[in-house]
Amino acid sequence: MFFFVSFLESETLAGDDFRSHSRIVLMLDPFFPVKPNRVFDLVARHLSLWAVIALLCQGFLLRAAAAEGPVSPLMISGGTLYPVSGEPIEDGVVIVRDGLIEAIGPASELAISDLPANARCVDASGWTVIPGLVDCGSRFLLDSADATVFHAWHELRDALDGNHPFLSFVRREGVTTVGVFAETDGSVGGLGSVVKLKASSKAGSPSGLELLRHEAFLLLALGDLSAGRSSETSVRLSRYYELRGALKSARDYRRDWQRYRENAEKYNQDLRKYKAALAEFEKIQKARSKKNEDGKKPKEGEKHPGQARDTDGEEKENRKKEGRGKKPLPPTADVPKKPQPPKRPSFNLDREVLIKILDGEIPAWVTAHRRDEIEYAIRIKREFGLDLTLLGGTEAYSRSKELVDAKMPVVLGPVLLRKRGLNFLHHRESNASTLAEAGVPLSLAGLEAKGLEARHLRLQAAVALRGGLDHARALEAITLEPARRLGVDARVGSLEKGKDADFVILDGDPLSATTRVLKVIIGGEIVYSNENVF
Amino acid sequence: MLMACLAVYLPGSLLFAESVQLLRNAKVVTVSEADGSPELTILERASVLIRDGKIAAVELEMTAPEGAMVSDLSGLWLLPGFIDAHYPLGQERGGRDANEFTEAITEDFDVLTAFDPWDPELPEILARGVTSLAVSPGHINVIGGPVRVLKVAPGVYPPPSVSGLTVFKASLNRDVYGGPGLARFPTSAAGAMEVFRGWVDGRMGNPEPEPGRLIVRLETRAQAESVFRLLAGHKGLDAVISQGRLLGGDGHLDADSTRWMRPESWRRLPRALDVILGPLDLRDPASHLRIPSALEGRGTYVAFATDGYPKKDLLTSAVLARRNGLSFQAALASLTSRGARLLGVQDRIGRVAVGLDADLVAWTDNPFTLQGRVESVWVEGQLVHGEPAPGRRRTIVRDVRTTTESQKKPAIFPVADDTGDEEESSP
Repeated sequence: MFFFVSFLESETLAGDDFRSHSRIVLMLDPFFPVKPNRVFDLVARHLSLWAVIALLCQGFLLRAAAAEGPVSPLMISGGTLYPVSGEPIEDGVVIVRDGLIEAIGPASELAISDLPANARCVDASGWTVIPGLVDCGSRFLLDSADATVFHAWHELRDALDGNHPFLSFVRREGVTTVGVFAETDGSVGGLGSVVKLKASSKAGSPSGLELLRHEAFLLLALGDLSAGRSSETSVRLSRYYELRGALKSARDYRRDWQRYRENAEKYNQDLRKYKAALAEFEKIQKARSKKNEDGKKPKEGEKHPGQARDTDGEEKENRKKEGRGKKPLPPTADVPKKPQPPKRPSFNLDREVLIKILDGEIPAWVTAHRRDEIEYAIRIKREFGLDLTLLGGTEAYSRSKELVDAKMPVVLGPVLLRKRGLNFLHHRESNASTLAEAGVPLSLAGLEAKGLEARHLRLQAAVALRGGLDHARALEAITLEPARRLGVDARVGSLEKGKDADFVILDGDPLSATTRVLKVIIGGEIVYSNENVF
Repeated sequence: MLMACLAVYLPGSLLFAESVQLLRNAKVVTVSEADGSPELTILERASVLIRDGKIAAVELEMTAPEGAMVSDLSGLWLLPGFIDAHYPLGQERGGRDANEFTEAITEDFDVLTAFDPWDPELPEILARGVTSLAVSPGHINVIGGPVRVLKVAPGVYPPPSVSGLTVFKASLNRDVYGGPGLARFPTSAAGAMEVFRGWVDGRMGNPEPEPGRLIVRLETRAQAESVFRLLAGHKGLDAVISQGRLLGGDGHLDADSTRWMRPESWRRLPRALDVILGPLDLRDPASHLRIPSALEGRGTYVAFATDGYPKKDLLTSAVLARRNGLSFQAALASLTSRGARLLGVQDRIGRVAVGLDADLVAWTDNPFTLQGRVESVWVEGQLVHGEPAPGRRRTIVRDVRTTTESQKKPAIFPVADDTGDEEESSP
């Protein structure tokens, strides 16, 4: 556009008259209603118009290009794959297209034929490939070490910041999906969100992250999540009864609102009937008064339409009139009673969220470490029929049978280092293996204040292994099980065809503290590559 | 009865049931330090002979002598027992103890009187591979008192101790002067330094000063400079810097500790020195976890400690340091031989070598992978933790003509019950 302007400028310099100036005007305003006197002007005008449109559309074009997503197909070959959903595959191959796993299998069985020329190939011989780790309990990305005073209905996705400096620390240790939550001081915490640690252009995603789910679970608290505060008797009792009270009042609230809705339905019907009956009545009244206008005044006995009618009296009068041989009046109608609208219960956002967990729409997670807190949790689950998961579970090994009977999955809290506090007095490294043997669905999580402990997820699994958990289940406890708890197991958590291409490539046994993470891949894109391989 | 009495009054050694033991087919891993740099020795399938609580031989092939109790440790790693280089009493021990804040100098305190051999934490400490603790008074006194190296032997009173160099615990950090306002207590950093200087001068006023070492808890680099300048003028007394938890109590970055613990601060210190560090925690940022390897590159050697928090795991400090650049042999040395050298007891503990105490730990796998679990622990030749796994036969090599039963002496504390697996085999 500027090119055309300058061209015309030179033109105007040549001729110093009004007409040449007007050409500039024409140039800048293609819609100026002056007939062009040259073909050139016509062409220039149209081109400038399209230039303006192109400038305006530039933004949209760029955004569209960004939304296309990562680039060329990817093939990882030669390494040992741990799909988690099946047995480890020696010398396996994974093919990724459009951010999803297109094929996975041993090299001997897979036909790698139709990969385009620009496909990236990663030779992982001697290395291992596992699914991206899922940390399902984190206060990560929230910038706060202590419990934040939240309401249950606050949307966490509005507070997440993908530009947080901790994100790269966690991601470079292989964690690709995180379930974030915030606690309150009371027994009902906030809703949890599930994010992937990679930027996404999808609408609704916080900056630098991809939002997978924004109401994944609701956090309830019977015990303390953080290490510093011990779980004293008064705190435990008050939490238990507070939680029960909150759920009960949510149940009553739900019943009140259900009744209100039924009553409102009924009221609406009654109102319709009333209106119809009122119209009828008024028609009748009009007919009667018309009749009366034929010389007769309304009798004194006739009552005002608003008052209750004495039908028997009316009947008698009609009969009397009939008896006198006069023409009977049209039949009177009952004035219908106006229905009373039902009283509307007050609206409470906190209870609205609790209704969702009572109905089972959103699963609930409850923090409990001590065995009595765990018993409270089981009782609450039975009393309210919740979909409840245990978070923390330091002494869950002593209640493994009860947990299995109550069908309660467990997300084990910090297992690596015992911490101070009454909560963690009876910590045992064999906790995970006891629960797994009993048949409790087991996940491991960091559960640390700043969420930084997510980077040590593999070490947690190693220590659980040291305590007796078998290798396959330990790996599942940091990949597929947490994905199931977060409700994203259709997309992440294992190496299966059709799932998201999130991998971690390591230089040895994935659950060994001496193994290094070499590459982290999310959605087919290499987001971290370890340069210090020696 | 007489034996029992003798047992009580012989604190320097444990009485043991089997005087000769042979540990066979173990993968022996040990580190020795000739002139400072650690030398790693790995013997794939070696046998260790224990006699009278000491390591009598470490060979690749060995025939069992008569009367020996033979254990087959095939598939297991045999490491020296870890040494916790700093275990101050008065830390959180279920709230059972506190620091002594009535005096600034408590140099006559004997930690043996406050150490509890029936502490339920001790078996847990054994299960994590630690066999010796350098027990000291708390951080709250400028001069706390002598540091004693005690073996972890649950149920033995007094616990077996190792005496080497005379080591004192000293503190010049905030714990010392931030305390309650008692008249005899320093209330400022300068005051603490005055008290310290007074003690050092007093001690060195002695015409024949006993050589000793100070384990000093410091706060700033300036303090380190003062301390070293002060000690340089006194022969026979040197210092080891001890720095405990790098972060503050609840995981927040403690501004003071970052000022002190930045690797650049260490590089500018006056001379090569030894450092006691720990516990390193999962919550520490990588910049802190890299300090041991940075110091290693500089020639400063680190010994790991739990700093009196029994719930902290000594091995985890070494694993985290290893994951941040520390080499395997340096990490293992920092758990074993360096602590021994710092405390002057390197002739008794810290290595699997002939003549040293038989403080050995059998691991199922390389402990640095965090997958390895402690299977058995011997302290001075006595099995104090673990049963031999089913399938591992413990045999007594016996000459059918003589009986060795009468040679067994009673032990004071419960010995692992191994009579179930006993079988006789002719030599």
